Amino acid sequence: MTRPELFVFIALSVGWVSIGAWAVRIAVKVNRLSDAMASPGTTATREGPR
Amino acid sequence: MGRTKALLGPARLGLALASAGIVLAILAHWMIFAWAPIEATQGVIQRIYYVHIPVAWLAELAFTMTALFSIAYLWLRDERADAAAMVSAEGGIYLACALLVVGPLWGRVAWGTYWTWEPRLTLTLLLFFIFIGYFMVRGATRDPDRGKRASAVVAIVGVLDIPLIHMSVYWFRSLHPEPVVLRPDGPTADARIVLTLLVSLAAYSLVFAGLWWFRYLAETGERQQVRRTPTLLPQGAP
Repeated sequence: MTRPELFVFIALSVGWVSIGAWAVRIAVKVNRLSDAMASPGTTATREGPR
Repeated sequence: MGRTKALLGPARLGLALASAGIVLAILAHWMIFAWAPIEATQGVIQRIYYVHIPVAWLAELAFTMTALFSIAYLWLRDERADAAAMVSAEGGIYLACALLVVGPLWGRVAWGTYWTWEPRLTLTLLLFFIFIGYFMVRGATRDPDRGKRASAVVAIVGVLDIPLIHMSVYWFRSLHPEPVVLRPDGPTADARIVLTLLVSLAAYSLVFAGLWWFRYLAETGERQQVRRTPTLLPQGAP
């Protein structure tokens, strides 16, 4: 694999990895919110009310 | 279970958008590697174009959305507008990170350097730092509403950098080429290159829209849940 081919592979991966990283963050948020909704009295944020 | 279902109900739109985007992404990658021609002057490295342009477009769109929702928040003081602005900025940060990795890889092969302080690169880095600042300002105040107002102002001022990024190739000496697709006299690139770019743009945009909608629902749901949760502090506590 030549350097340009390697860079193209890395670049195409980085684009989707960044989207994937955001998707993981969203999934964690949704999961925490779902847990908080199931057990009243707990907040969905780790930081507390904003 | 019922509450989880209530949470997932409106999320169907996000799921549909993201799924359509993933299908288009598979098609886009087939087009990139098997259908689009190898560009004559740059060779294989030009294929970075099919990720560079979508992440740049979406990062700038996300920051523009942040500014527009920030204007709406300052005007209407509607929590949903602030949530939409914050969610857009968050998505924009992820895509700007990708842009700032992908661009230098292309630069290393095309220009012989990963980074140079040419106008478009410098202004793009500035935009990234402005929106990092957006989140720093939000978290820096004791009063959350004050933080929201201050960050809205940062977003509105910061978005003025985007027209500068676009015009920099005309106004200053720049290593970036002038546009080859969005030109008044039509695209100069091969039709298959343009079509592959459009499919890749559509794929990224649909996935982004789906994730944005999920994140917005999570953010508004979280804020409602926090409001419903009784505070443990006694009344009148600072």
